[in-house]
Amino acid sequence: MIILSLVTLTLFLISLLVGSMGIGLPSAHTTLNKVDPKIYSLILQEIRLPRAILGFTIGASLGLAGATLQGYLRNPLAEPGVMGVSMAAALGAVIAIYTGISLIIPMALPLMAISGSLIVIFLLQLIAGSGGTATLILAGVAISSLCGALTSLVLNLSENPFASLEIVFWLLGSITDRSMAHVWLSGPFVAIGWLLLVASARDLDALTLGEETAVSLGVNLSRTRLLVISGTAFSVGACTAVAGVIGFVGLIVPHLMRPLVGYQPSRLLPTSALAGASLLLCADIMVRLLSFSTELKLGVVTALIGGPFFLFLILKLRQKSMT
Amino acid sequence: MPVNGKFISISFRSLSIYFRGLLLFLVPTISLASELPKRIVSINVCADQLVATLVEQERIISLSYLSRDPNSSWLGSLTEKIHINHGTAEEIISLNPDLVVTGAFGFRPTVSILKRLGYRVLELPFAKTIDDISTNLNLLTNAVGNNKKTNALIDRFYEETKKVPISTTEVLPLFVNYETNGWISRDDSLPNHIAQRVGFNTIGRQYEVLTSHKIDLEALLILGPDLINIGYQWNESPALVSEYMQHPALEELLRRTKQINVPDPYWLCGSLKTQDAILILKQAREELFSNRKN
Repeated sequence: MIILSLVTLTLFLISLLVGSMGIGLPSAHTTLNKVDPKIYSLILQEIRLPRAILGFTIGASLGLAGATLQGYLRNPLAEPGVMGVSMAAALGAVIAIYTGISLIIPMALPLMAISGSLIVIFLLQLIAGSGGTATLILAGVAISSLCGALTSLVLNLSENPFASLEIVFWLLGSITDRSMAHVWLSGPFVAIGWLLLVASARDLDALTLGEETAVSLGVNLSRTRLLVISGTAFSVGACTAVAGVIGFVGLIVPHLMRPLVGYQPSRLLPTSALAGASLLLCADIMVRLLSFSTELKLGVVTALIGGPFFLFLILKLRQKSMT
Repeated sequence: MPVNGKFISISFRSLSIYFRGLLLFLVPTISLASELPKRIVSINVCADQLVATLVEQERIISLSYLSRDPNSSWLGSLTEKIHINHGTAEEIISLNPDLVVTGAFGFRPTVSILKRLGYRVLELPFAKTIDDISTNLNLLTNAVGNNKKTNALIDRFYEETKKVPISTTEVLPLFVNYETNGWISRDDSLPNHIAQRVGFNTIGRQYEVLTSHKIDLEALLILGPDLINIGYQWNESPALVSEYMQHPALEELLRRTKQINVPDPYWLCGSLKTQDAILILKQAREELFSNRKN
């Protein structure tokens, strides 16, 4: 846990030091004017700091939400991205931005993204609440592609010719050139989400023994459900509203961390949050170091790592069910 | 060597001016020999702007639909009475043109059909330099003929562009043509060519690393341009694009940096209007240097 915190902190600091102009404090040839030291502090405060903070909070949210969902649904494939929760949040955010609502009420952006997530989690509960792993994943895939299609539709309907290019941002996610305004906009909701998720930790421990045992241990199941659903919606929804859909973090991280904490959900939650933050910060640093002529989206990197991992998990599950 | 280079370039320039004069002088006789086209159709936004300035309205049958788009063309009210086409072969043939003017890009199937059917098609290459504009002016006047008014317009263009100083000695100020989402003009583009001619450095020339056409905010801040032109911002309808220009770091940079506003159509296509872009840049450069001395 301490080591993990140190790793996250280090990555956070590296994230502040790495920029598109190389590692360390940037140097520039001068033209007419000398480069003002104020410009350096401007870069640190207004470009790299919000980027690092968002990398941390989004990674932590996804890791935490993934761990909680896997614990609550007792389903190793549960994750905000796979379940369509992130995509629904993106749909909410896209409607808020491209209809102009968020111009009038800035708060509408995170709020509509959160409502998008909430609706989808409730829907999933209705459709696949009693079904097995496969039902949940299939319902998630269906809802995810439906929300993706609706997002693209909204963007295509926009009169702004750039809107259709922005589909990439919403589907793959990015934290490039975000500002402190985005941090302030999403921060409070993310914090609420974290509190709700962490509050469910004890119930999750009890749930590992099965629902009936959990109830007999004094767990109020409907309270747990409320905590998990609203916590996920708040944290993932607010993050997606400012950075688009970033997949697979919530899937990989809990699986990697579970053996380290002795398979105990309440210990897995903070560990997954930190590991998620580390993973996303790391991916974002990679995005900046691998410079292509057009920017590589953050979601591409996480999917490149997460996609194969997802397949690996499915294979492992199949082997288990065969034995 | 620099002295020699300068001498050669001067003599080249005077030679080319001499040839231009010769061409202009010869053109009327050539054009008179063949029938001048009377039903001229342009299907390209760049061609529109040259045709509309160099040809009498009676002879223009149709211009492309983009000629009315204020973000691509500066023609504006000049096009009100002229028919608008969308570049399809059927549409153009039904207009029965005797000359179709087009650019290097777009409507290639239409162009090949028209050529196969024996229509006279004039293709004007995309202008990336001031000399390219001169070439296109010559190509067009050769095809459509010229008169006193157009000659005066062209002469003024040569006059204005000739006056552009070519300075190499001083530390050059850095110019960036910055568009929304961080797109910048490439070094082989008309805006950057003009900036270099007027005496600015451009990002591609100064920093070889940045050969791409996109730059992130951080790089822009560090490069610290001396002059920024902000292109059209596309923010009538809300999108992430409209948020982009409101980034606090960018706002701060724009507060400290001299800005000009060259309307996009002035240099999106090379046309006679491009000389106004040159003037704006020249004036900005003079102001930068006088500020520096003070």
